Amino acid sequence: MNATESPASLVTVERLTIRFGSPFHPPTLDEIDFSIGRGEIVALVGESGSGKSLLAHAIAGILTPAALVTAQRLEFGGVDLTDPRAAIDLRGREIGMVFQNPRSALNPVRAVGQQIGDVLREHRDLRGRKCREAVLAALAAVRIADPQSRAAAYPGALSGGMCQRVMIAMALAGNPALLIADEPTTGLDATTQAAILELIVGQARARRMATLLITHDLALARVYAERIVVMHAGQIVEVAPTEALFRDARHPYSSALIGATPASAVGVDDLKGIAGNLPDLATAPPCRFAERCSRTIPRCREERPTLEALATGHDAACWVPL
Amino acid sequence: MSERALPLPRPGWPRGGIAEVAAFVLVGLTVLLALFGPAIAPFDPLATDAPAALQPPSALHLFGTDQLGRDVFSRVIVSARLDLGIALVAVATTLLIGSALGAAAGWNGGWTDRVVSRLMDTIMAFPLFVLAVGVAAALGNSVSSVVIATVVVNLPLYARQVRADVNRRRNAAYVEAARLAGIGPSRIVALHIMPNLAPPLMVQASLNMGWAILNAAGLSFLSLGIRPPTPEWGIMVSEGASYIISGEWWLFVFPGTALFLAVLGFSLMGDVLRDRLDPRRR
Amino acid sequence: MSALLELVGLRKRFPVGGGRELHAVDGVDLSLAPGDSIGVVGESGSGKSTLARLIVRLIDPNEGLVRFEGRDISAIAAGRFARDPARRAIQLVFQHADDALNPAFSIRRNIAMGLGHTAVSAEASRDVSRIADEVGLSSSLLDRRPHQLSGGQQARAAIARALISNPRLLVLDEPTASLDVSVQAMVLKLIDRVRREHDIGLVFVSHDLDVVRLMCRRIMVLYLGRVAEVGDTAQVLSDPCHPYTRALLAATPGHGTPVVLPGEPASPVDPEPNVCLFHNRCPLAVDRCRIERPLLRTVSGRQVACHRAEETIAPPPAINAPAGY
Repeated sequence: MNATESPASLVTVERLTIRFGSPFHPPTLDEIDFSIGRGEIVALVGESGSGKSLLAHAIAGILTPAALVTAQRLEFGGVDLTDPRAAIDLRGREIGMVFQNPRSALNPVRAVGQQIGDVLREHRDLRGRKCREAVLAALAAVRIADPQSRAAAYPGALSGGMCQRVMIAMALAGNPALLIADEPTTGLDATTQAAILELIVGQARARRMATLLITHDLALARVYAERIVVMHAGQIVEVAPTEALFRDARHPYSSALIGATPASAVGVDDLKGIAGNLPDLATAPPCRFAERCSRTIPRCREERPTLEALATGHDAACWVPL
Repeated sequence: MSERALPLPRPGWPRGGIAEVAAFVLVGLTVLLALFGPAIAPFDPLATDAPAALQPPSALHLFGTDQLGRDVFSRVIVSARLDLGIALVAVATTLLIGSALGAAAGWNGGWTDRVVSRLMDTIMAFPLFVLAVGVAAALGNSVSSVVIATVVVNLPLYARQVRADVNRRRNAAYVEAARLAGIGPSRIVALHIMPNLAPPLMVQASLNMGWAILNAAGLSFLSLGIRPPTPEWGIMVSEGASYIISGEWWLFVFPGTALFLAVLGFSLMGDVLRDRLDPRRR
Repeated sequence: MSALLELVGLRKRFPVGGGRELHAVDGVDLSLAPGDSIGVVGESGSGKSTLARLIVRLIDPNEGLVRFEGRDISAIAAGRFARDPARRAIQLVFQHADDALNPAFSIRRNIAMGLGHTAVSAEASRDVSRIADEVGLSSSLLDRRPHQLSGGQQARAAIARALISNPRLLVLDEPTASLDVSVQAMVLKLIDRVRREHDIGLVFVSHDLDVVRLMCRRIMVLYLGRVAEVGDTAQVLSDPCHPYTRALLAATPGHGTPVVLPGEPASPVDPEPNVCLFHNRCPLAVDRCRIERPLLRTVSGRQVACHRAEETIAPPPAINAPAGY
């Protein structure tokens, strides 16, 4: 039983493995154990190729049919997510999703008010005047000034930050228990980013809504998340409460990632790069960080490290943790 | 072509399968004939032999003889040089001029672009044959008129493609980097941008070769450009057409088939090049 | 000792149809000593990318001067500057390294291009090997094509190309924005090492305050094409004076409670010349801000363009206090 799992878990993932191509291809997501508690704000942190987006898509149930999924458990509030009908029912209503690059996630030929209205009609069964009022309320909730005229606007006329607010409005329209935000502010200005994240986290707290924040930016995760999950090459390497991770990272990759983040460094010399590149999955050792790690021992190349509890709520998957 | 079981694709077998093999075979054959046709022709293509006129294919005359007793086989294989030669000169010329115009328009924009684009629009308004007749009327009925007409009518094909591609790449970071290194615009366009355009242009040129051969044959079919007794596929089809009713089918079937196979070969080659040169597969 | 780079009253406008113009750079002054480093920060629409291209003379300013080593190079049109002896002394590192390398050329040829050649002579090849070694690019990669290299390797190759001509001024336009953080760390360390070893002047354009904090001794904050604040990095970031700098700093994760700026930036198209363009979002805006454009003036050791600068400055803190946690 995973140390981070609790009876109040909203999302439970056990031994989730996703492959592409054939059942013999190396897995892109390699036996993931993961959970999100009700009302919890969790950040999923990793670089490109870590699989964080893929995991989010698996929970949201929007994987491409080409993905070969096996899992011991993949549940949302007790509902099995591998059942397509159940997943469709949850999506948009219980699970809301916000994507990177908001402008391309919105339909360019429909007014934003219509698009929010779609969600309301579908998941809250609102029609006509009630729907229109709800749309305006949704726009006001995401702090868009002058909702009346904005509702009639098309995505192309809105700034990136505004488009993201609209997408958040759509994600929240079904009153979800879980909001998945996949790199919601990448590409947006710093001031806009702050506003968007404040909005998301503010709504999460007000609605007691769980939030899964996917980001490559550790500094951002530090500010907004209660718990951080670090991923590398399709494997979870460490899970810890936020400050515990920064104070006392136990996995060499987490530590290296923190060391590479400019926000944590005092001078350029403090910055630490990470040796090597992402491994070729076909030839990678069981611990996929082994070739880039300075602490590798022979066991790392023979047996995959399991996520072990090293402190309360703090797990790491390493044979030689820091 | 007889039905025969084709071998299964195996490693090393060309990606494009039978089409790719056919492309190389047909183009190769056409080129070989163009190079060596006159040398291997069993008979002088111009030598007439009245008593032997209109004889069907035989061991001596593989494709039979025409209305003047000339060996059709020799005439067919000798024509390859002429038709291929005209097409090659025409395509090479139009490729160079069209690319130059397109590159200038794409890089400079403004008035250069407007003038070139309107010019290309005007050319595209003319059907080939109308243009060819006009050129022939102006410059006289000769091979060079055929070449000029083919060059002109195909200019927009290259000019537009190059214009769009150059314009798109003009703001690419690597072009800016070349400017930062002090390299002048004409060198940038010719040596830095064009190599990136070479693959699609080669595909275009190959497809164009097929059309150019057809154009040359078509124009001479209409008695523009090449005149008898020069052996040329178009003329041979034209002359042979009058003999269909009397049953001397070999007068137009063989030249027609040769024409068809040559054009097919280049068209298929265009597809092969497009697949092979797709940068995502290299 | 003359300044390496001087910008005086630089302005750049782009027509946007209907006779209107977008003021991308709206009166920027800058001075950089040889071997020094300045970070130019701002959000989208701040004009920082346009400024970078003006400095390296890819585009011409509408008004103002660009002086390089005491010589006015803005008088020469961008097109003709290609033949100027100073051309290769000023180089630019682009944001997207994969776009900065010619896909039809080998890496060797791409790097050699920085010398101004298209063909690679034996001598150029030696220079390429030398610079590739210096930036940590394995020689086995020199004969490959750009798309066969990883993001980090492409970044190194692009930097190698910028350095091969021994530039004295290097402008970097968000060189690490599209890279993973671990790759970014490596590239930043490389740039810093190169700057120190070759005594190159750096103009580092970035949206990331922490990166600029690490890389640059001085910092310039741009807002809608105008300079809001410029000064010593440690000082400006530990104690920002301009309200926009303060907001930008607060918005950077880990630098205090994020303060959400209301409203949207004013339009950069035909902006009013006699107002402070930040006044519609500024918590300190007064009537004067709506009728008079604030000019850069020295306040507490840096330059600020704010009418109320003296009121906002806190008592001087310890200069060496690191920003961040």
